[in-house]
Amino acid sequence: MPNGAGSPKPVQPEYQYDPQTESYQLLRFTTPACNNDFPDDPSAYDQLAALWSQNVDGFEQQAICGNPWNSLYQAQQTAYYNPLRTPIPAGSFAVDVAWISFPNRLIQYLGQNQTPPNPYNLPQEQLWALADNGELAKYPIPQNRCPQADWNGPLQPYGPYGPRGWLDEYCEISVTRDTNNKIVRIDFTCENPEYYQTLWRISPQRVAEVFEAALNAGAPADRQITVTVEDLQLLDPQTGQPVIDPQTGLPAYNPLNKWNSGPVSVRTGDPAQWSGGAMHLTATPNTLQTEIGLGAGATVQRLTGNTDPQALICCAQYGQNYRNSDPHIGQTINLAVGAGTNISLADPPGLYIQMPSFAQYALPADPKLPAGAKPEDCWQIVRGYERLTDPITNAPYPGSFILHAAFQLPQSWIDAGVSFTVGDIKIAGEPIRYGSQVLATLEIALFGRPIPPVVAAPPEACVASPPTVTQAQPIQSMYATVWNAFYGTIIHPPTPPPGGPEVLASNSSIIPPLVSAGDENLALVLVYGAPTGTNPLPQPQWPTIVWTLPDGSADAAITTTVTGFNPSIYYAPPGNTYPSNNQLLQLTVSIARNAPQGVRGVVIVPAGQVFSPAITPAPAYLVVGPKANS
Amino acid sequence: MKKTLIAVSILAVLLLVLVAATPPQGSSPQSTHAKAHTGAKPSTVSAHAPAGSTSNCLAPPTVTSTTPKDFALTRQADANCFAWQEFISLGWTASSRMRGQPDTTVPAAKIGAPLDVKPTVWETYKESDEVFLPDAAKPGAWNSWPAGAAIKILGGMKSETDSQPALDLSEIGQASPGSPWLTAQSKLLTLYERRMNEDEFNYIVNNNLYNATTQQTFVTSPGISLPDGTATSAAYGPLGSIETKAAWIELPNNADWPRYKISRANIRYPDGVERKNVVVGLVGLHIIHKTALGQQFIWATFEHRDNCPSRDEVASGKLKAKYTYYNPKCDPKTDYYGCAANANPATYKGSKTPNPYNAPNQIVRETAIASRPNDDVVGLNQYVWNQIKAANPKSVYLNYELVNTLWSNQNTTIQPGARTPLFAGQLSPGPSQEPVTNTTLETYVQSLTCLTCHASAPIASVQPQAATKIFDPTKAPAPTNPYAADYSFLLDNAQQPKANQGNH
Repeated sequence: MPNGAGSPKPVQPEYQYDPQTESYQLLRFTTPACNNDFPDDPSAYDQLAALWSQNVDGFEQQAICGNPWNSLYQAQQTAYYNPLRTPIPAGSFAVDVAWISFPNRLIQYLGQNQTPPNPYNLPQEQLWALADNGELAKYPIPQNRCPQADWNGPLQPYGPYGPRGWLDEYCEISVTRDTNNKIVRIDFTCENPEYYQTLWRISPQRVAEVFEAALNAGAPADRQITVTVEDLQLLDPQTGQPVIDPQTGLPAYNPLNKWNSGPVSVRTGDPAQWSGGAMHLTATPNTLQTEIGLGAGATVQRLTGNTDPQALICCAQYGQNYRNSDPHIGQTINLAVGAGTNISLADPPGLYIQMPSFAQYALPADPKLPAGAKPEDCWQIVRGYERLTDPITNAPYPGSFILHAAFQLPQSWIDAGVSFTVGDIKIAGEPIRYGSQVLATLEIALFGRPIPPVVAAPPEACVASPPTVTQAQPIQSMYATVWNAFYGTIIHPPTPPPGGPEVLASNSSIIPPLVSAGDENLALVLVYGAPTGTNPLPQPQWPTIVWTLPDGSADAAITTTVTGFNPSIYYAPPGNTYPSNNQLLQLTVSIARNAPQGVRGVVIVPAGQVFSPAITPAPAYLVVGPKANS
Repeated sequence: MKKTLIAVSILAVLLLVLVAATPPQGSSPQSTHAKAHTGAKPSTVSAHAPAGSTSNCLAPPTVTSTTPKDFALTRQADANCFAWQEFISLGWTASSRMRGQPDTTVPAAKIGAPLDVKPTVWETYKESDEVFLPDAAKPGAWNSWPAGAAIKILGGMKSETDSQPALDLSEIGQASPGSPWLTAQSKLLTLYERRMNEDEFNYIVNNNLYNATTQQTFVTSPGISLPDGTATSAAYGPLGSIETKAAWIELPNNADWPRYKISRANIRYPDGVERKNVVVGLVGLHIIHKTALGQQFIWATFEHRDNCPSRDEVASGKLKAKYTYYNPKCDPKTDYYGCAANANPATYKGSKTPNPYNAPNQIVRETAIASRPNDDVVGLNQYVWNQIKAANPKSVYLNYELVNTLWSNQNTTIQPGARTPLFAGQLSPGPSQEPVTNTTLETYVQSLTCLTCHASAPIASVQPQAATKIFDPTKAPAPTNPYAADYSFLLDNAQQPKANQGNH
């Protein structure tokens, strides 16, 4: 592989230009940052790109659909357009929406001089430390966050709860220290987990190579690691054996593997014990599917509160209050639509690290520093690009498309004999003692592309629960064997959730499982929100499942039997900040030999109801495709 | 209602931008088959095109006299474009009939006309001392001119009527510890003035907040919240509160005048005796504006391009021949401050050692003007200069640059009774990124940022009434920070009516 960390040149997005309408039609979503992880294998890249586009298209459809099942004023979010299905007028430019990547909730809930004030009042030094280690168990925070955080009400443990859960601004880090406990390298990633799930479907070996190349990029020879497929695969929590994914016949992917878990990279001592790294996002809300959903939810104009990001997020109920990201993303998108546009994430959709500001960095005065050495030389882009040209405008995007960066001394400095490490570089006069100090100097961004309105967006009331919930909300579908391993694998984060153990299922992805025509008696699961909540249901009251074609009609080629029901599945559905109780259906699914290939929606029909247009299908919950490796 | 106002104001500009967007130059796709690619192959590109860049802000600055109500989107690029649009519109020649309004008969071709001493829009805003009068006297009407010996004659409005316009620039101390001054290489002191627009003036006058005693009760109910241009504050005006703080330098050499926004000024230096009429040139300008999307204000700061080099430019030796506040050939043996960069004259050699007012300060910009993709001020400056140059190639505003724009993306409304420090979080640029300061206004505290200080802006203090009880420490209230004045240091200038002033 010539460059396991990514291609030296970006791939070319695929648009079709229509001179009649002077518009561009996106033909398929481009891989994040226009990065190509198969520069040596165009065929593999084509497979990856097709699967990636299919997955993102599903996310877009789900985002526009919203939640028509158990929520009010949160559906048909059509001011968000799907660029795969909407022509883009020539010249329509993209705008960056950027936010500081240091987690603002740590500042809001634990820091000084906040509104409303918190009881902890911690100084900056402690906030930096907590951002690096996540030792937040003794800092409960308000459950009620609207209209403002209520410190007089009930409190809950600080979440999200994963091994990097508190890094919830769509940027996660892993810090490498030397034997003197001084920082020698910080890895930054904003890559979404869905991409790695997709890449794994195409080639687990390539995932291992990408990991190895990225985590070794620029690292000295004595800190180089070897990453194997075995390091990354999902193990059965009962047997310890790899879990075979029925979609591929190969081991499934473990998103919290030893090279992508927690905020610490161990690169000293016995190499057999080395671990850690930041390759993709792991905080449960840090997913692309959620980001797109947030974007769509924010397009809805509300009757009040549109200029106040806190009021708007309370009203529209997208994302988490007090982040730098969610309220800011939401308000910016809301303003763009309020100004008379429709908007979507610009292709390639994703979250991107922006170039830090080095204005307050200072290098130690080391006579061996090469002439012209600058702090920014330590910022090394490992995956992605500092600048890309927008194919629609032929001008640079107003921001960077960096997926992974490392902050470390250049090898040339080490070769020149400098006597300092990253830990001796100062930011605003403070030596870099924590990776989070660097986080505070850079932003994460997404790119939106407003276009003249295709669909009007009349204002709506605030999101609310209906007086009586009668419909079921689909949440996630998966092969049962994979789900069982995900749900059965217990995680031990620094701060445990209050209602039960943290499970790996919270780090799974909302990607529809692949089935093939002729498959029989496949064991799938469907996680959902039942109108009856956690009440046990006798078998006669189990719902029925209907898979739907793109026109919303039932697909008679797929037969499904509900074989089991679990009223209480406690986990954070991918994209959610906090765990909640959900329900699960065990399904046995058979596909007729003549079933056409394509993506299917799903309708959950509660007992006593019938399949009808009154129940909106949830898009992209199953894919009928070719056999694995066919 | 608030949303509707914003939407209407943004809609026209945005739709214009979107509709007017032109197809990519030189890259029109020729093929229309299914797999056609655009002609524009993604590639890495240089950070700045020669034409400059707006970073796709939704309302790119134009040479017009209309002051914007708010930024279009809560993005740094839009904040920067908003800042420049304010500088242009508030730098427009003022109406001779109505303070704070532009003379709309002045064409764009006259923007920043050299040697024009007529006041600009912001120069006809009310100076702080016109509003906060001794003994809490009621200020004159917005369009009134000062009269009487007890009130300082201020040039902004006097220039409207006098053949000898005059500014009062008696303030020399900067807003940092020790109130240090700033002496140019010409050995002349930098002079400052602070002004407010009609919306803020109306708010203060209508609510009697020029009276320190009134502030004490008003701050808790209904609370001091300066107008933001929304429907809830429409009674005070359409724009929201705007304050300016300007730095001027006397320009005795008329050869310098064509490069500066100049005004006539009536000045008196602290070591001088007589006031005198001179011509001054603008070297720095803060514009702060409270808006619907900027409850923490939007803080823009501009400087003359000849003020000083950045630290990077000093290090690289890429220097101009001459600066107002930096001597490229400074000799440590003869320079009073030994050529030390940004030596604070209030503390140099110890605060008890009086340092001379006429010793030049060697000033450098600690933080270079941002050029990173998400805060490309350098690119926007170039873009705006191109617009100005197209209107008036000789405009003095070609010699000014935006340093940066600061705003908070939490946009938190200040509640009644709030005490200092007010919320100053979620700032853009972040405090660990570029501090937003002006080398002529915060010369010696360039590592700070506007809100670092303004979050602690208090209401005016009042003298206590004569004590009638013996002090009982067990019943004394816990010490608390002063009530906050919505980030404005102007309100602190209010005095008490004479009858209410205490006797100790």
